[in-house]
Amino acid sequence: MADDAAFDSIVRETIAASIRRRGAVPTIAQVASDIGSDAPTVGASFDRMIAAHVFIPRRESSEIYSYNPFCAEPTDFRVRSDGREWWALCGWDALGIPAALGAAGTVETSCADCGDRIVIDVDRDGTAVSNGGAVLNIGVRAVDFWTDIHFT
Amino acid sequence: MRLFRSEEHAGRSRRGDSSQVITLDQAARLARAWYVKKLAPGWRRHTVEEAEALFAQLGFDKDFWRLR
Repeated sequence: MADDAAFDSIVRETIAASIRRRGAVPTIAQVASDIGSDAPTVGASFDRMIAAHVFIPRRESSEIYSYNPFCAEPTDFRVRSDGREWWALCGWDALGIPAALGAAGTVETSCADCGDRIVIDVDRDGTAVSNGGAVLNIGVRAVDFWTDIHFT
Repeated sequence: MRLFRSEEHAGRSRRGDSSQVITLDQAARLARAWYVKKLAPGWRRHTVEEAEALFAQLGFDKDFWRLR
């Protein structure tokens, strides 16, 4: 419905504004409070966005696990950017956080093979330089990205 | 989508042939193009056509990166 689409657009922009303002992915309750709505109405919007693959939900929940590239909780991919600390689900997302913020940043993780610490500095223009080499392994074909998104 | 120190390290952890390694430069360009507008007003998901065009522009393997 057109009304749902308009409301979902407001919810999406509220999530984005909340990430910028709070430095964290918001809950349904926080979004409802921000826009003067109620949790069931915002929860229904979240459910529509989950169905449309706008974000990754927590398991068995409508709450956001990752509003990619921003993960709601600590992971193996830490990013420092725009004066804050952030978390990402994977290397692709980690490199995308500075881009989404329009800022430079530093990605910290470890080699998934040997455990060696990998640090990648990302310029504001997106140029990335690592401390000794880094490559990104894409583990599934693109057409299967959402088949099991928590694995991807 | 994990980061490795090198292609050799990625190869040691590869499970089956359904994976592909891209360079850091390719990954950074992909991430920037994918997310640069994510927090902007009016953001929307890429269409399948837009995404496939981006993958092609980055020089990715057409079969591995196809979306349909």
